Amino acid sequence: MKNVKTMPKVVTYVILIIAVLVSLFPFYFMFVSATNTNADILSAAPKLFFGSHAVENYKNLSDRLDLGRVLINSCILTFTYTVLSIFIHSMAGYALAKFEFKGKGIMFGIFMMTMMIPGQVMYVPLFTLMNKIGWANTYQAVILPGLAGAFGIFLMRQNMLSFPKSLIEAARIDGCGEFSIFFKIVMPTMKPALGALAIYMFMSMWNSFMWPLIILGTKSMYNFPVALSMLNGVAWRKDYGVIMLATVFAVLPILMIFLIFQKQFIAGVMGGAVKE
Amino acid sequence: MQFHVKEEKDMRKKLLAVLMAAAMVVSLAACGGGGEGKDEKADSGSGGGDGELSGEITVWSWDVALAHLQSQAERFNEKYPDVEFNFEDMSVTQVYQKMTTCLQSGIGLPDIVSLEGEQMQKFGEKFPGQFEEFTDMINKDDFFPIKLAECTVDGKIIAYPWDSGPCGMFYRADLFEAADIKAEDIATWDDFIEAGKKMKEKTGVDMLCMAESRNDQVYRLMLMELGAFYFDEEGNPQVNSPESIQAMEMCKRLYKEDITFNNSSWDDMMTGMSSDKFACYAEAVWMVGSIKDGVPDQEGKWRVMPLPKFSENDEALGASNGGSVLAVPTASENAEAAKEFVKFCMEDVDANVEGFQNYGLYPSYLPALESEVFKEGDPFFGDQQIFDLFTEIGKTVPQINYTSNFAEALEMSKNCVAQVILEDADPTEVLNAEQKEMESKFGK
Amino acid sequence: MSQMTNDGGSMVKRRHIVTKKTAPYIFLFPMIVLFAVFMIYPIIHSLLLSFQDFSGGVYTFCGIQNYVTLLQDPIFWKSLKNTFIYLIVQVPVMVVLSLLFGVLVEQAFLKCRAGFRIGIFLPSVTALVAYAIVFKLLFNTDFGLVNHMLQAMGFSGVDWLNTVWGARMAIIIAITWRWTGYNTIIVIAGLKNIPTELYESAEIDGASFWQKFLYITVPMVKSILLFVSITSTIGTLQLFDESFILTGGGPNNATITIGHYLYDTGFTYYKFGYAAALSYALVVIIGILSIIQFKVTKGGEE
Repeated sequence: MKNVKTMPKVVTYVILIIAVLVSLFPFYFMFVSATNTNADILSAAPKLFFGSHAVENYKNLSDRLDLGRVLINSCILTFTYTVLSIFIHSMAGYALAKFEFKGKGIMFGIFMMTMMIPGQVMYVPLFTLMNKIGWANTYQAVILPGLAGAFGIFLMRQNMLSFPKSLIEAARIDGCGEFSIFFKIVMPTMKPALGALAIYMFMSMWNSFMWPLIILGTKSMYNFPVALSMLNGVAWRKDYGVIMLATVFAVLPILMIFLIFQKQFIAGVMGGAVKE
Repeated sequence: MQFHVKEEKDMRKKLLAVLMAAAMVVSLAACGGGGEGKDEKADSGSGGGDGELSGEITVWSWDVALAHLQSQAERFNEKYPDVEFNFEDMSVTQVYQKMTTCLQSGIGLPDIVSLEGEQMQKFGEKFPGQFEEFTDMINKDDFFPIKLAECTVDGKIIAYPWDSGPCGMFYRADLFEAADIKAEDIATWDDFIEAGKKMKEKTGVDMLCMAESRNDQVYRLMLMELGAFYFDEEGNPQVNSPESIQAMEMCKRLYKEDITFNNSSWDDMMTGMSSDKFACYAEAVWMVGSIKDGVPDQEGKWRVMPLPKFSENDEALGASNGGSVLAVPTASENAEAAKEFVKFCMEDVDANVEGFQNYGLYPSYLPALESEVFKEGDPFFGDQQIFDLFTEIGKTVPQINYTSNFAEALEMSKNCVAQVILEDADPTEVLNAEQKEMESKFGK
Repeated sequence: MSQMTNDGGSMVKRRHIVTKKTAPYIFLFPMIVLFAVFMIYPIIHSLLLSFQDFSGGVYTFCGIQNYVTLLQDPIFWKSLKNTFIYLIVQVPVMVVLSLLFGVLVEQAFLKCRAGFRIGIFLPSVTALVAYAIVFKLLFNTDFGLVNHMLQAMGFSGVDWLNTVWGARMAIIIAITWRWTGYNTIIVIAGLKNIPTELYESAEIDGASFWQKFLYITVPMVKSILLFVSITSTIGTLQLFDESFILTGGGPNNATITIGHYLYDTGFTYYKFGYAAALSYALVVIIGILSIIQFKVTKGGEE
C-alpha cells in the first residue's frame, strides 16, 4: 500500500532530476569553458572543471568588445520591444477576440499568414525602406519590424477568447469605458498569457541577430548576438574560451529576468476565476 | 463591481505615461545611436588628382586582417594626416551578410572591404560597376597569377590581391618516423596510399584527414593539381571531365583503403589533430598559424611536403585554398584615398612582412616574398624552410575561373564527395549528374 | 472656430468616440500601422522579386521561371523532405515531453519546484554557440560522450554527424533539448489555469493519477497544447540554426532545411529572385498546413 503512494513520487523525482541534469550540462560546460583555453575546449577530452584562464579570456574579450555598451544596447532594445509588444499585441488580440466588426476574419487570416513568412526574404526591402526614412542604424529600426509580427496577437487572442463576454457586458452597463474595461478588467486576468508573451518577446529580441546585424551600422550600437558573432572572426582563428565567456555575459541577464519573472508569472494566475 | 470615470482617467494617464516613456526611450536611444554613427561623409573633400588625400574611410574586415590594416593606417597617416579611419571589426559571415543587403540597395557600403578571393568574382559579376577598378594601378608581374585571376572580372582588376593560400601536405614527422615512412619517398598518390597502409598498420593512426562527409577539399586540390576545376576558362561547368573523374576516384580509393579520418567540421578536425588521430592534412599555408595555436604541444613534430602528384612525370601544378582580397565599392565618396591606402598596404614590402610576422598573413606580393623572413626555418616545423616551399608552390598554381557560381558549385561538389564515398556511388555517374545540375542551374 | 470651443467639444464627444463600434479599430490601430509599413510592404516587394531574375546587377522580369526551376530543384525537394521528417518526429515528441515535465513539476508534493522549473527552462536561454559546440562534441564519433555511453551500455557507437540518419537524429535530439523547456513553461501556465476543485472532486471519486491526467489535465490544456504545436510547427518549418551550425546541412544535404537552403540561395549564391520564390513556396506549404490546423482548432473549440 505504501509503495503505491511513494512510487510515483520517486519516479517523478528521478525523471525530473535526469531532465534537469541533461538540461544543465551544456550550460555548465559554457561556464567551465569560459575559464579554459581554446585548446582545452577542443581537445578530445574537454576539460569539465573550472580552469585558470578566466582573467586572460576577460582581457582578450574586453580588448575587442565594450561589454557595458553592448549590455546597454541589448537592454534598451529588449525592454522597449517587450513593453510595446505587451500593449500593442494585447490590444489587437483583444479587439480580434471580443469584438465583432467588418473584415475581422480576413484581418486575422492575413495576420496568421504573415506569421509563416520567413524573415530572410524581407530584409532587403526593409533595409531599403529604413534607409529611405533615415532610420538606418537606429534602435527603432531594429524594434518596429519585429512588432509587426503577428505572433503576439495570436497568443493574446487565443487567451482572450475564453474571457467571459458577460463580464464585459456587465461593465459596459455599469458605464465603464472601453479602455477601462480592457485595462481594469481584462488585462489583470491575462497575467499568465502576458507572462508567456513577455518571455517570448524578451527572448526573441534578446537573441535577435540577423536583422540587427544588417540594420545596425556601427559597433557602438551592437546587441549581444551581433557582438558575439563578431568574435567568431574566421573559422580557423576562433578562441572558444573568449567566446564562451562572452556568452556567459549574454546569458546572465536573461537568466536573471526569468528568475524574477517566473515568480510573478506563477503568482499572477487568475485563470480559474474567469472560466465561464 | 463598480467602475468610475475617475478611475478610467487615471488609467488613461498611466497608460499615456508608460507609452510616453517608451517613446522617449526609443527616441533617446535613436539620438544616441545617430550621434555615434554620425554623418560619415560630411566633409568628403577627397582631393582628387594629385592633391592631398583627405576624408573619412570606413573599413570592414575581420580579425587579424583588420588588426593589420589598423596598424598600417597609422603608417599611412604619417604621410596623409588628413585621412581618418573608421574600422569595423566583423566576422567573415557578418561581412557577407551586410554586403548582400548593402550592395542590393546601394546604401551603407564601406569604403574598403576585405573579401575571400574565391568569392570576388561573384561580387564582381553580380554587381557590375559597384567596385573600383585597379587595372592601371597594379603591376601584374608582382603577384601570384592565381590571386590576379581571383580579382579579375571581365578583364578588369576590381580588387587588390592580399594574402594567398598555396597548399601543401602538412605531416607529422614523429608519426612518419614511428611508421618508418620517409616523406621523400612519397611522390605520387599511389606512394601516399602505400605509406598510409603502413602508417595504419604500425601506429593505428589514419594517414589523411579528409572530411569526406562535409568537404571536397582533397578532391578540389587534386583537380587543381591536374590543371582542372569545376569550371573551364570560359566559366562553363566541367565537373565530368576526365581529370575530375580521376580525382574523385582517387578520393574514393583513399577512403576504401581505410586510411582517412572523417571529420564533420573544422572544430572536429582540430580535436582530431590534438589527439593524434591523423598524420597528414592537405591545407594552405595559413594553416601554419592554426596548428601553432591549436596544438602548441606538438612543436617540432610537424613538417610540410608538396602534395603528392598523380604520376611521377607530371608537371607539378600547385593548388590553392583561401586567402583574401581588398575591394573598394564605387559608392565610396573617398574612393581616391581608399584606393591609395589599399595600394599602400598591399604593395609595401615592409607592410607585407609586418603582416606576416605579426598576424601570419602570407602575402601574394612577390617582391615581399623575396624578403629574408620567408627564407628562414621555422622551429615549430623542425627548422624546415616551409615558407620558401609555399612560395614555390604558389607560383605554379594555375589561373582559375571561379565564376559567380563558385559558392553554389562548392556546395554541390561537397555533396558529390559524400555520395561517392559514404553512399558508395559511382564517381562517373555522380559527376555526370552534377554536370547536368550545374548546367541547368548556371545556365551555361 | 476658436481653440476653446473646439477643445470643449471634443471633451464632451470623447465619451462617444470610443464606443463599442469604434473600439476594435482603435485597439487595432497601432498594430495595423506597423503591420502595413513593416510587413505588408516588404512582403509585396519580395513577392514581386520572386518573379524576377537577378543578374548583372539588375532585376529582370522572368515570369514564373523561378517557380518552374524550383519544382525541378532536387535540393528544394530534399530540404522539404528533411523539414517534414523533423516535423513529424520531433514536434509530437516535444509536446508530449513538455506536458510530462509540466505535470510532474506541478505535482503538489514536489519540493524545490522553482529549481526544477528553471533547470528545465535553461536550455532555451543557452547561447547558440555554446549549444552548438557542446552538441558537436557530444555527438563526435570517436570521442563524443554519447557514443562513450552507448558503448558502455554494450551498444555499438553511431557515426552521428557523418551518416544520413545519424545526422538527422542528432538534429532532432538537439532541437528537442533546446525547446522542450520553453514549451514546458508555457504548458505550466496552462496547467495553472485548471481549477484545483476539479482534481479535488476527482480524488474524492477515487480517480488515479492517470485518470486525472487523461480526463482532467489533457482536456483542460488542449488549447495550450495546440498553441505549443502550432508554434513548434512554424518554428520547425523555418528551422535554420541547427542545420546551419550543427551539421552544415550535410552529409549530402541529408539535414538541410528549407530555411537553410533559402538562406544559402539568397545570402551565399546571390540568387535573390529565386530565394524569394523559395520563401513563397514555403508560405504556400505552411498555409496549407495551417488550414488543416485551423480545422482542428475549430473542432477543439466546440
